[in-house]
Amino acid sequence: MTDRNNKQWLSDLSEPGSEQEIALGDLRAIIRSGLPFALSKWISPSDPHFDALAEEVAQDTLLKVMDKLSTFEGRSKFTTWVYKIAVRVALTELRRMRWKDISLEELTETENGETNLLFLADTGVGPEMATEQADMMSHLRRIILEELTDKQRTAIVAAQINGMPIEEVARRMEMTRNALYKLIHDARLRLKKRMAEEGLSPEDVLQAFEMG
Amino acid sequence: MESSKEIIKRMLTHIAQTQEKELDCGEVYQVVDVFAEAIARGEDPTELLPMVKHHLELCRDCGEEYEALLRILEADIS
Repeated sequence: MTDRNNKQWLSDLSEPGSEQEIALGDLRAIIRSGLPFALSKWISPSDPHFDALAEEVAQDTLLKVMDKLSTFEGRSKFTTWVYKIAVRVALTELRRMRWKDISLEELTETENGETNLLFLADTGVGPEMATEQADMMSHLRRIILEELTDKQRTAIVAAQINGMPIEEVARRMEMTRNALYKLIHDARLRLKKRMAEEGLSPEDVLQAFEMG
Repeated sequence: MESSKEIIKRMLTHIAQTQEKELDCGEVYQVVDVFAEAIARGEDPTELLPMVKHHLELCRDCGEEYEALLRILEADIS
């Protein structure tokens, strides 16, 4: 395989022809060689689905690379930039597969259609829960109900409480990942400010939960 | 299965770390390759890109993508 610097990659890929074909083939091999490392926490290379996934990721990545070639600014190695795109493509697909059967409603709502804040209920946590912690939980619950919009509550409960990837939450809420991050950021900020108004620092509350 | 306590502790940690201004996922995506290369070289890019590290700690999606990218760079195959 030809060893190319950033400039050579751009020059080989920018014009249709045999050099572009060779560069695309090399790039495909480079992407494929990185995926087993990138995805080691997600899927084993010996998994029967790995090869099909890797091929699909390589193909989608090459299309995206060619589409975005003019936006590459050369601040990293070209191959690192390509790997970044491949990782996004691969994890997007793996997250989609992992969460495909789970709806936002079942994750975030009670049977009555209200936001499920059971993690803040003082029942079910056992007798070991200190009174101070139980008080703090009902306090947090009230702040969440009073300060956050329905959308913010849904996003926080799905992503932060139930661990649904924000990309998956965003898809279900018909928002972009950026917009959803901003929604959650705004929610955290509101909660922080409200806690400050009530003389509660998150650090102090945290300390109450570290004990016992 | 996470306990209620663990969930609350994570939520409080995130609230404690919340800044008035934070980068969004798109802004972090623009520079995460530069950030990961610096880490892989053993440098500390947090002085140059302090808000990136902050976002990677708070956003699990971006954090997972950064770690996956770093695993490739540290495997030294390119």
